Amino acid sequence: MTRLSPLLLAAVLLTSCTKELVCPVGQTDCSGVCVSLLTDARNCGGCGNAVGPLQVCSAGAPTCGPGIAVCGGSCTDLARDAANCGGCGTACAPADFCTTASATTSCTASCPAGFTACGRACVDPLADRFNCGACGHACAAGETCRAGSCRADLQVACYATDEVVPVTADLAAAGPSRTVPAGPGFLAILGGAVYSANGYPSASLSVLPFDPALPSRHVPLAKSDLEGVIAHENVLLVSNAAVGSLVVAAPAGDVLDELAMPRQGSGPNPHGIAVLGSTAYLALYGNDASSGQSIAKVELSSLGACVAGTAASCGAVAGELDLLSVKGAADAPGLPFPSAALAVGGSVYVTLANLQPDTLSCGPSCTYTAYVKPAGDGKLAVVNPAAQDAVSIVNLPGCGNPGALALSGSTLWVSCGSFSYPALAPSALVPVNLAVNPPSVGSPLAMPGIVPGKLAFCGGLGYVTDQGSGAVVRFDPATRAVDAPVVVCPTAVPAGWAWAADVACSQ
Amino acid sequence: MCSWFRLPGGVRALALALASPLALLPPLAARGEDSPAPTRSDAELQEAAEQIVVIGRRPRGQVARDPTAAATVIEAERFAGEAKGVAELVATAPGVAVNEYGGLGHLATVSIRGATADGVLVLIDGIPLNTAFGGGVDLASIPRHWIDRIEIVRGTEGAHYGAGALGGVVNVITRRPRGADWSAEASGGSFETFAASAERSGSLGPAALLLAFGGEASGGAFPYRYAENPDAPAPTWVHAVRANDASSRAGAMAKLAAPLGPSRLDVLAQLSGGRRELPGSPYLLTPGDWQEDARAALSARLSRAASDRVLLAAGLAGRFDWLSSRTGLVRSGHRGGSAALDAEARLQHGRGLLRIGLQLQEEALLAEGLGGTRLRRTFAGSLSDELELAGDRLRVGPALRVERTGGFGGVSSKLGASVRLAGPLALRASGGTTFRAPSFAELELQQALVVPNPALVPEEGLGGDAALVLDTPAVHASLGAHATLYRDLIYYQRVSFGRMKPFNAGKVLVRGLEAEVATAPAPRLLGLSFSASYTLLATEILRGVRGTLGNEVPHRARHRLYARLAVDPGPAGAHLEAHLVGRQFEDDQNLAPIPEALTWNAGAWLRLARSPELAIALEARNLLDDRTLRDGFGNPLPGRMLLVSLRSGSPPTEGRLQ
Repeated sequence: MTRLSPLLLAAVLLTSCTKELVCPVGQTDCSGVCVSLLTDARNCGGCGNAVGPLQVCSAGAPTCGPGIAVCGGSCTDLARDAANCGGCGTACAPADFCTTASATTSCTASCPAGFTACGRACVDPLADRFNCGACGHACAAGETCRAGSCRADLQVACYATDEVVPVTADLAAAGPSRTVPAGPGFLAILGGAVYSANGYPSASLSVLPFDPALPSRHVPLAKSDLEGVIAHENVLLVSNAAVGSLVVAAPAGDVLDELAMPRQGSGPNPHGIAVLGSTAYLALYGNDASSGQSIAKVELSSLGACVAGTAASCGAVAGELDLLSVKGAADAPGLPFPSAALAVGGSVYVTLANLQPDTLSCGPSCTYTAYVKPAGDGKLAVVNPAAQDAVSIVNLPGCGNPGALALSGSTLWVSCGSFSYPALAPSALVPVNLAVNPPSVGSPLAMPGIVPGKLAFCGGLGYVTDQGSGAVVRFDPATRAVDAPVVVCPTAVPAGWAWAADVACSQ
Repeated sequence: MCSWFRLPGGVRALALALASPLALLPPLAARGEDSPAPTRSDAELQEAAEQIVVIGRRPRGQVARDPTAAATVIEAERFAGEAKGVAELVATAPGVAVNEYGGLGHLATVSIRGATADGVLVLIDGIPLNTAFGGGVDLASIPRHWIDRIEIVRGTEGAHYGAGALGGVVNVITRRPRGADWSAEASGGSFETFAASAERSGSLGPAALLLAFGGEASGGAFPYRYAENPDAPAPTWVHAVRANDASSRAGAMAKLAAPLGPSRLDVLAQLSGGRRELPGSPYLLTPGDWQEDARAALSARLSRAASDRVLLAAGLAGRFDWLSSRTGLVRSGHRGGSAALDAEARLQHGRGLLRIGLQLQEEALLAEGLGGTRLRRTFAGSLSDELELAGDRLRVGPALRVERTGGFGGVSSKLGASVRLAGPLALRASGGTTFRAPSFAELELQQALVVPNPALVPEEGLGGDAALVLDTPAVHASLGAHATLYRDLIYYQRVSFGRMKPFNAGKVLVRGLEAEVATAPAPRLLGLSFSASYTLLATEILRGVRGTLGNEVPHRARHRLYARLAVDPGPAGAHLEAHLVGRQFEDDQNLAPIPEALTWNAGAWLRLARSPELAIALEARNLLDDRTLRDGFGNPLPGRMLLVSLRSGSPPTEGRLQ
């Protein structure tokens, strides 16, 4: 037994030491990558089952893609196939090309201006989804070729599964998702990449090029809580809530500078960022009356030199707008809790959650107190830099616990709602008309079935995430029509939850 | 090497004692198997019983319990006057990592062979301190003043010590009554740190009694530096003074050892408690946070040599814990206790020593968030043997323990062997399995954003190791390798609405090397001695999301090195220590490294008088005053700390510093 048991032990150890990839619900481990066998073009219905060039994977089976016909039982591209140009069996002359321009397909002797010959097809490499940027470079199903690069219409941050999922305007899958190191909470688009600010368990900024052939890059940041990222000029501005700072990063992800917020030790908890001119405004959410409850100003006049490497610092904190001294910023005993920020025209708009303390249950015989209960309607702080940063307050009737902001035309939409206090903060989007002064607040657009989270507008339509699931809702700001929620984010295993944390337009 | 075996000659001042199974043979086992049992007088039987009782007097906590295990014994007296608590002492051993959360009396937990703090059993005189609430044991809550030695046993030790010892066991042994000895110590130093302790041994008729008291406090207001913009290419360092960082602790202990005819009664009573303020991160100070705790423990053990081959023992142990804290907006706490009854029989047979044990324990816990009092009963039966084969060259130690804790049951097993190769060189190897039942907190606690998971199953550990051991009068050295597979590890994961919930999500492979050496190369040269330990810990995540597989487990440094050089010419002495903790990662994606840290400590002592003994000692910790030191979670650690201590006591006897 003395001789055998070590061998037995070794055998058990070896067979138990295999790596196990944990995939979200509905996904399968194919060669170390989690994929959906129902939609993945390289693993359609099974690992390694790749679809053909003109096919997509639909419900686990290869089918001809959108705009692709069937000729003689095979998927045929009638817009580019010189043997079936415009129709099955319609062949071009041996030296001619099949050209589609202005929605008309014909055989041409040569390619028109702006078109490139790819085989016997004339294509626009800036917009041709099968020859996007180069001959033979096909976009993934759901992606569109724009300016020579394949892009999905939208990017959705799926926090529970640590990934950014590209989707079409109809919220269908559009290409492979991109894994990030931790829960992505905020997205920004700059140039040819989407940027993800990732939080728990360890903060990082991810650079995710739209071209999947280019590698992703993940830059670690201190602590574990990032609460905002925006693209400004040619940099990314990231609010590090756990450190209490504003991080300035280059497009490649390298940190150029980091600026500590006022009263850093009290936990200023920076959230939303907006830039007007050369000044950034940060909403300092804080935790209670002794922290945050203000808007920090950061002068970025040396940003250009900082990017060029000729200045040591990208900017400096230039002051703090104390919201506790602004009448109407909160309803007693509430505090303002500034959250999201957006610069429009010559003003900066900041949502104020207006929360008061409440006693919460933490289980049987257990209670604690936290600032979570709406003290009244949500509010909008309007900062006018031209008037020495005068702050005026706009009440938002029908909007409790306001969060995200997004602009459509001259209308600012605010997402409102609360899980714990649905009566005080019903789920809705509230429009604010900025074309008039003072801004006028429109009637809320109800969002049944979800608690609105982040907002984005894309192609004239609006998209709002659900704070309690992996769903995204599309709506028309003009007609106020609201579609049914579409689940975009998969469910994490074993935690059993999904969360669409942010949505960004990548058209 | 067994802690009660006096190290010969020049190595008497060595700090580290290595587990050498060959030194643990009790005198009675040395007889050949064919030798008839001689007739013995009552006095001889009593003496023999004393010898057996010495082995068996420390139930469940003695290295002799598993002589083939990888173990290190740390003699506390070697560090007398150095204000080292349990955390600092265990950190000198290989395979051990201590996680400090701020230093100076603040939370400190221990990890052995990569296991979590929950996977290490911590005992004090054999009484388990791990509670059913979970979360590991706070080493800072164990009063340091009356520690005699600490036994660290590495590996899956559930078969010998009970479920929960996935990575190993730390057994803190307190001092024994010694004649009419007495001692007292007072110290003071940086950051308003003060400590005082006193102990007295005496006789109560035939019984020996030890009374000990101790207390310590620290203002905790140490200067430190932190980066206000840690991610900037050239961070700006800010000077600050730690606030809301005071701590205080006090305790008392009474020990009684009384012969009762052919039997012996050992009684232990301990009381300790403390308060610490919780300062928070430099980026989010928490001026109002604090934590208070108290513990009372009582044990009584009766042992009797039924014959010169059979020892019977029975014990009763009880423990009460209380913890209260305020963190942010949440006020929480729990209190609980346990009562345990155990019985053991030891039979010295022709081939070795057979142990049979039974244990029954009832544990109760009341906590906000548990919704009432929770009870957990444990019943365990164990069987182990130490077999001597091939004369005294080969020793084999099988062990089995069947245990049921609450609704969870399991079997822990261990098989170890040691063989003397040539002269002082021996080879030791062992392998075993064990489990850890989920705690009440993991199963049922709902508090703020923490939610329970009643569907949890026990964690499992499966491991093996082997080592070469060299044991000569001049050198003790050991070089070993190990591998452990941990399965179904319980990790807290994010769930909806910002909550955290535990799942059996973890699977980790840990492999490593453990080396230690203790030598007195030139004892005549100022009593020069050197000791060191090195740990190579290679952890590998075997279950997780993409980007984590194959990565290192967070907060598990790959390299650790401890070294100590000392001179001890007699009336004075000095030492220099170095602690190196290698790079580790904050996250399972291995993106955020925590740089390695090297700290130096030094000290000196001078004997002022012999009878009574009077000595003064000076200790400097973090000698180079690195004020940027952080624990693994970003909390500042103190810069240079100076401590002066004055010790007095009755003239030195065996085991006392000379």
